[in-house]
Order: sequence, then C-alpha cells, then structure tokens
Amino acid sequence: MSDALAAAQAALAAEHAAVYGYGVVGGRVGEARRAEAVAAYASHRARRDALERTVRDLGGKPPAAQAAYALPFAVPDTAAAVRLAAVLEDRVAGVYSDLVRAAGGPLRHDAAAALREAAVRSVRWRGTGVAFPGLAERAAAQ
Amino acid sequence: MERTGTTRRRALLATGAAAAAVLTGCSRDEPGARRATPRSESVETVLRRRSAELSGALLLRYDAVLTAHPALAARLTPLRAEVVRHVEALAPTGSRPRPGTPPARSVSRPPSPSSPAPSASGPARPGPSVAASPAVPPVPADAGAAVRELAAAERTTADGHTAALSGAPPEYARLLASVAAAGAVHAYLLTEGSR
Repeated sequence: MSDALAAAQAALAAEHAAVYGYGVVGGRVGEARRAEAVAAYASHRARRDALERTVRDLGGKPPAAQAAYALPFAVPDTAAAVRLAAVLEDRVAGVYSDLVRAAGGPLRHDAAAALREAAVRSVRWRGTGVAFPGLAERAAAQ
Repeated sequence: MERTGTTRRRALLATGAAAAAVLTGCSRDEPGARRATPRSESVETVLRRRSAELSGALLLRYDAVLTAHPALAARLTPLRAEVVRHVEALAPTGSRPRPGTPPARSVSRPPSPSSPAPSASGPARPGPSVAASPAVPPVPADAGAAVRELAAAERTTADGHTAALSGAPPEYARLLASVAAAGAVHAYLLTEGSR
C-alpha cells in the first residue's frame, strides 16, 4: 500500500467522522451559528466524496463510514457544540497535513487547501488559532 | 512524486560556479559534503532559506506596524510570535549567517516604541542570511489600514509557501502547508477580529 493511499484512507476516515460529528453540532449549536455548521457539514461531505474517488483512483478500497462515532466529550449545549466543531476541524487538519507529506502533485495541493480550510474553520469556532495547524507534534508548545 | 528537477535547475542558476558541486554531492544535507564544499547548498537548503526569508519579510512588516502603532501591540504581538516560530521552523537546520552578514539580532521581543526602527538585516536567529532584504513599505498612518495591509501580507506570504509545495521534500511540504494555513488563520484574525 503506497504512502499516499494510506494517508488518503486516513483522511477519508476522518472526514466520515467529521460528517457525523457535524450532524451533532448542527443539532445543538444554536440559531446564531447553525448556518455556519450547515455549511461546514456540506463542505466535509464534499471532501469525503472527493477522497472516496481519490482512494479508488489510487487503487484502494474506501473505508466505509461507521454507523456512529464516539464523541470526545458530551455535547449538552451550544458551548460544547462549538468546542466539538473546533475539535473536528483540528482532527481533519492533522490527517490532511499527513496527506500533504505522503502525496505529490495535485493531491498534495488539494490536501494543503483542505488543511487551510480546516485551520480557518477551527479558529472561527474557537476564536483563537495555533502556530502550526495540523502538526500535532508542535501543538504542545502553544 | 517530488518534482525536484525544476528546483535543481533553479539552484544551479543561483549558485553558478558551485553548480558542479550541487550535481555531484549535495542533493541531501550531508555534513561531509558541506565541509568539503562550504559554498554550495543543497536543493533543500536553498528552499528552506527562501521560505524562511519569505516569513522573515512578513516579520519585518509586523515590526514596522508595531513601531508605528504601539497601541496595536496587544492584538499583533501574539501573531508576531507565531511568525517568529515559523521563521525558525522553516530555516535551514543548523544554519548560520554567511560571512559578511551582520550578526543576527534577537527577534524574541518585538520593538518597543522607543527603539529604533528595525533595519533590513537578517531577521531570524540563527540567521538565514538575507542576501537582499525586501524594503518594508511605509506603514499607513491609519491603524485600521495598517492592519488590513498586514492581513494582505499574510495572504501573500501564505500563497508563496503554497507555491513552494510542489518542489518540496515530503516533511518540509507538510511544514510549508501548515505555515500557509497559519497565514490564512492570521489573515482571518486580522480581518474579522476588528469587528
């Protein structure tokens, strides 16, 4: 299995989880930010669909979505929903930085664009950003 | 996967007489090759130096805006600190200034209102040397306009890092993409955060 294929499959798995997670976010985020959550949901579905095509093009079998995903924490209210949205974007950013490393050409650029989108969404939800979006090994020093 | 051909060609044009050394020994950072041919640089070193200089130029802009508008310090200092980290992460590993460049000054503290305006010398520590420092355009007198220009500079810098992705080795490409994403985050904070 090539590095690019493995990284693309990991990214697809993260997008499946993000789509699921945004379903929860949309239901509990409140009126003010629901449109934003809906837009993010649509964007992640589109990225998921693109990654399914990419995985097939690379000769792999796209991992299927799970029926449900364990959330990292309980989401009883708006504040928790906003926190979950930021966490979803951070996780997506992480897998895309790996895909940038593993891929070349157009796929590398697509992954970089997805990383940038995830980083900007994360700061919109959380209000603050990090110095190196998507790089978990550099997060501890923030 | 890596398109190293184009960057190797650029490195040859840049180093001129050192081209032969680049071809024979220095496609990877090898200490032996560096000692034997101290004036040649590997392809990755050239890329790293240029990328660090790109973020270094952004750092100079932050310093100019902070000097002209000290009241923006609370807002800009955290972002400036991240740009410092970008310059350090992007710079060639174990880099040191070329002979003849001024000693790299510490960039850990932003300029205070009473300090002189930053000179166009190597911005990072230990310096990637800035062979031809970009002149920082004058800062607008209006603070809002200065912030908007800084946001535009962040976007341009991020675009520059994105453009370097194709020719970058895998690990460095991952770093470039992250720094480019951080630039987009900064541009957002500088643009939206003023509301």
